[in-house]
Amino acid sequence: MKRSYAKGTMSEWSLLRRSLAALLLLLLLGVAGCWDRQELNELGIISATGIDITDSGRWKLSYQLVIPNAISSQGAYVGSSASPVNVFTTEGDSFRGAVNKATQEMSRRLYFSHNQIVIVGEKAARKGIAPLIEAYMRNGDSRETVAIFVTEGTARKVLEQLLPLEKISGAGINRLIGLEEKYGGNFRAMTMFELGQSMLGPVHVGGVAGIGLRGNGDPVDSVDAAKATHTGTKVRLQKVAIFKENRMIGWMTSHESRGILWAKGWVKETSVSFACEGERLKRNSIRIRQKKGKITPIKQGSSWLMRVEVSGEGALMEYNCPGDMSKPGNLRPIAERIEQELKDDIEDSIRGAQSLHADIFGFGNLLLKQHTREWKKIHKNWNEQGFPKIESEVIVKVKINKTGRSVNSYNNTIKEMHDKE
Amino acid sequence: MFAFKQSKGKSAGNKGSGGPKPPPLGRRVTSTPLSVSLAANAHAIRTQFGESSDLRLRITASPAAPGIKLAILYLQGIVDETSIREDILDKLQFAHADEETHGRGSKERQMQTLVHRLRTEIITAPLTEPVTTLERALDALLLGCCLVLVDGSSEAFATDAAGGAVRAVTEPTSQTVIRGPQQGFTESLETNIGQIRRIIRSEQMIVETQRIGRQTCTQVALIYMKNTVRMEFVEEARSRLAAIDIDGIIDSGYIEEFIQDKTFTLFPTVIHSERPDQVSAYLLEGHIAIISDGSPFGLIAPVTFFRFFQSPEDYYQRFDIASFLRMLRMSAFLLTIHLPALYIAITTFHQEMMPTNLLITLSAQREGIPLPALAEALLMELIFEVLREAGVRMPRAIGAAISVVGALVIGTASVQAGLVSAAMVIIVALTAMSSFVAPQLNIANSARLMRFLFMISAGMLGFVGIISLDLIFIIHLAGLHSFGIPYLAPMAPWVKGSWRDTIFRMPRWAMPLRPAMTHRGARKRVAGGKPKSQQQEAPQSLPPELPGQQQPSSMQGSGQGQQPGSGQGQQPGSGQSQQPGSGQGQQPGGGQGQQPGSGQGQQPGSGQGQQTGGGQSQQPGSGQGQLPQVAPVDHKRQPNEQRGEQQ
Repeated sequence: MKRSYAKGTMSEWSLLRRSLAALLLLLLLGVAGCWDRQELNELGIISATGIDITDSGRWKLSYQLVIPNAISSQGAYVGSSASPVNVFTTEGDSFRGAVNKATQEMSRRLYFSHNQIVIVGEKAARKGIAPLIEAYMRNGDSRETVAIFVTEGTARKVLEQLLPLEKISGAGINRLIGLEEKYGGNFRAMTMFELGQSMLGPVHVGGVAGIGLRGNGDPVDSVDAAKATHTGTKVRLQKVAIFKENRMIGWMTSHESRGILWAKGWVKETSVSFACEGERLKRNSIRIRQKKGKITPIKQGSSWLMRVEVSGEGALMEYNCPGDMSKPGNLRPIAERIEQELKDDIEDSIRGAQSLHADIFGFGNLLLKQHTREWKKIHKNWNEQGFPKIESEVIVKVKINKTGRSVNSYNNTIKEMHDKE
Repeated sequence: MFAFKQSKGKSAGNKGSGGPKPPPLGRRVTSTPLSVSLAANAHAIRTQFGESSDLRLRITASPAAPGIKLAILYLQGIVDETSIREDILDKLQFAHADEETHGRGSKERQMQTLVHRLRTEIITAPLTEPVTTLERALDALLLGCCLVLVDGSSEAFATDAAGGAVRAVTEPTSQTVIRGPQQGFTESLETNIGQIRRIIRSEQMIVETQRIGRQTCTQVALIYMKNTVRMEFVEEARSRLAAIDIDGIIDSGYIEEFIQDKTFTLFPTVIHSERPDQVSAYLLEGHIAIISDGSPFGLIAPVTFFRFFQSPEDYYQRFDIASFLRMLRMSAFLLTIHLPALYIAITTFHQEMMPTNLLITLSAQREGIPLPALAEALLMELIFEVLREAGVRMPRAIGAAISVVGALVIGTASVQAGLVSAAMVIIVALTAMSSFVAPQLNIANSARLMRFLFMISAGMLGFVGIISLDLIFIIHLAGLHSFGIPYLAPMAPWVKGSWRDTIFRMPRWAMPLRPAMTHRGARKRVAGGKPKSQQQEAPQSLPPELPGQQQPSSMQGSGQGQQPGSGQGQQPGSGQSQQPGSGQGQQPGGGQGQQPGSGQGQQPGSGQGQQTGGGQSQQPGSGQGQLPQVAPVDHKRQPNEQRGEQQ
């Protein structure tokens, strides 16, 4: 009850002493100082990094430096006179050595924490990207969760490209792949960390989305060029670079990439086009959501069978074929055609991977987990000898949940009406 | 200040080394008997006051004391001169000599009888007191008494005539509520105690008054509920008050500084309240209140940290919105101490913590700002504090000018001038707004100081600094006590069940117990369980067995006397409303008064007249007569509601 109250007399001295002690403590804070403080306007924020390699084997690092003032002034890059980003390049034998050289030409400290994407030029990728991953894993300020891409040409060219609607093209590309992953179902964002992990995995294979410039016009690398209503070239996701043991070994098409995503169960939502009975043009499409994507290794004598089970369901978005769809039973043949379409995708991608000698499906990983003893016998030269010989069985199940707001094909009804008359 | 400190915490008898001290006014030790000569006495008193002009002396005479000079002394300004005229002078003028006792006994005896008769029979002031010493006479004068000296007697007497200009009861200015009582304390102790007494009409409420201050001799009242308070608090408060030895108490803030548990802390351990309703609610929960004359702020102790986020309005509003607002206030408190610090830490140390777009926006705003973020934030916060202080101190008439200038300084102008970034303005504004959310001003003030500590700490060490300071404050809070109650109670130490009224405010019936920390004995304050009215499908305001009530004809008040069933007086069951202690005082017993036939209306002594009936008895026959019968024993239902339904 009486604690702290009845402390007795506090002399003037003790008060003074206490105040002095408090003051000294405050001064101590000053000793800690603000030594590692960095103000926002002392930072050069990097939104994207490009990795190229010179003929002599030196790294050429390109940075997309954000110019905040150009961005923050109201409106998109259109209308603002200054370019929202600035791309520059430094060279060095090592990555961080090259980064360090930036101090010779940049007035601000390069700040990588908000780096959104890393684009690796094909040449550099084929040379090996282990040093890149090493640099990313070791340093705190560069995040290993950054998305990585491979481009056919030089990475710098992609960094220079401005995207419509996006002020910072690095962030824009990151958003692009996110959107594609969510709604497109053809490509998947690969982070530096995932890539490093998959190349350390049992099969040492990883796939990285490719990015490139498409179009025949001039590159949109200046604000003036972006003032037109159309752009000569645009950044586009295309193909998948397959990495094996640190090096890139080849490309797979986006059609094959889609097969990989289906087989691995990475598709979230996509639309699939399919043809009518007896037609070649895929005039119909369905919005489909993946429900299952499972790979099971099954032993068949001395070899292995890769069973891929995939299922999905969705709603028709476009249908131009004859047939009465008001009966649920009649939907089954349509679903089968979609199943066939997906099956082709997956089988093509398996064939593609086998011809590249790269087990991008991670079949070996499953063997390691489920049949460890057998895997130990065959894991040597798995990509070269084991994987290409694998048989595969693809089972696809598609359910059409809805036919959309209409039932029968409008196009077909018109045709029938015409025929009747 | 140091001298004050020395006396703190010591018992009154054990004075420190201060040399001989003049005895405090209220506790004069010497006693000089009054002389028999009026002139000598008057002269002595006037000398004591150094011929002060406000000491008034009037020589008079009375037929009651023929041939004897009387003197009336008072201090102008603190007495009510009208009542002196009416209660003393008039009475003296028109009194008659007592024939029976006149001339009998010795002279001394005669004088004694005379003085006694004057005091007790002739003078009609509510309180009179014999005075035999000069010191007592001085005291009496200073307390606003009128002193009556009788020539030839060494015994004078003082009559209570305290008065003078006091401020009227107005709305509290610093603690406003939308719903709830709107009257605040004033500077007059009597008024303040009366306001509380008017809320707590119970003899359990004890008011102990004492005088503190050698020169000011201020009346300080210690109030508590005898049946709910823990006596330790009362004893502790008594001893802490007794230990105060100071020249004067101008405001209760003086007392707060002496009785609080810890001086060197940023946190208040005593609540000051301008609201009688708040003080009463605390009293009911077993706290003690200390009210000092001359201050419209009463002190409440012991209090815990979470009490500072509770507004009286929490209890007047619905529990859901009250709980939400409480949580809002606590978040705002955290926001107001942390926000500028977080801004500094994030923008100078942890830029990676921000979303990229925000970083770039902030970065663009900071382009060209000459000051580092810490200095920028300190500058802006200081400017705001200056503005705020100016707003409090400046004369009302300049207010508009200051707010215009202030808006310019902390506004777009400073951003356009390139001195501060726009985000900083938002941070300062948000911080300021959050700091005004606190219902108790003193916790908001401690937040103001804490904010600067946090800012400096964040500027030096980033998040590490903020977290370290947080920890330091939490440790400090955990070590604080208020009258022996841990400051973080009921959270640390955890008191079972008290979460209901800490961060949340549960419905009243769900909080049937008084707070555990401050209470002894029976803890139940609400009959437990969900009220009946909510368990039933539809509340029935009128029991169907009472006929006539739902008949509209009875509304005219014409038929009451004729309807025996509705006649209150005839119903023995309604007798409950005559029991003041049963809590039914408000039950419309007054309704009885309106029934002329029942004969009760004329009886002022029926007890209900003062309570609710006051309003009703002025409207005889207005239809309220039928109300009282409604009152079956349902404590939870307000009689007023029922009246509303019927009319």
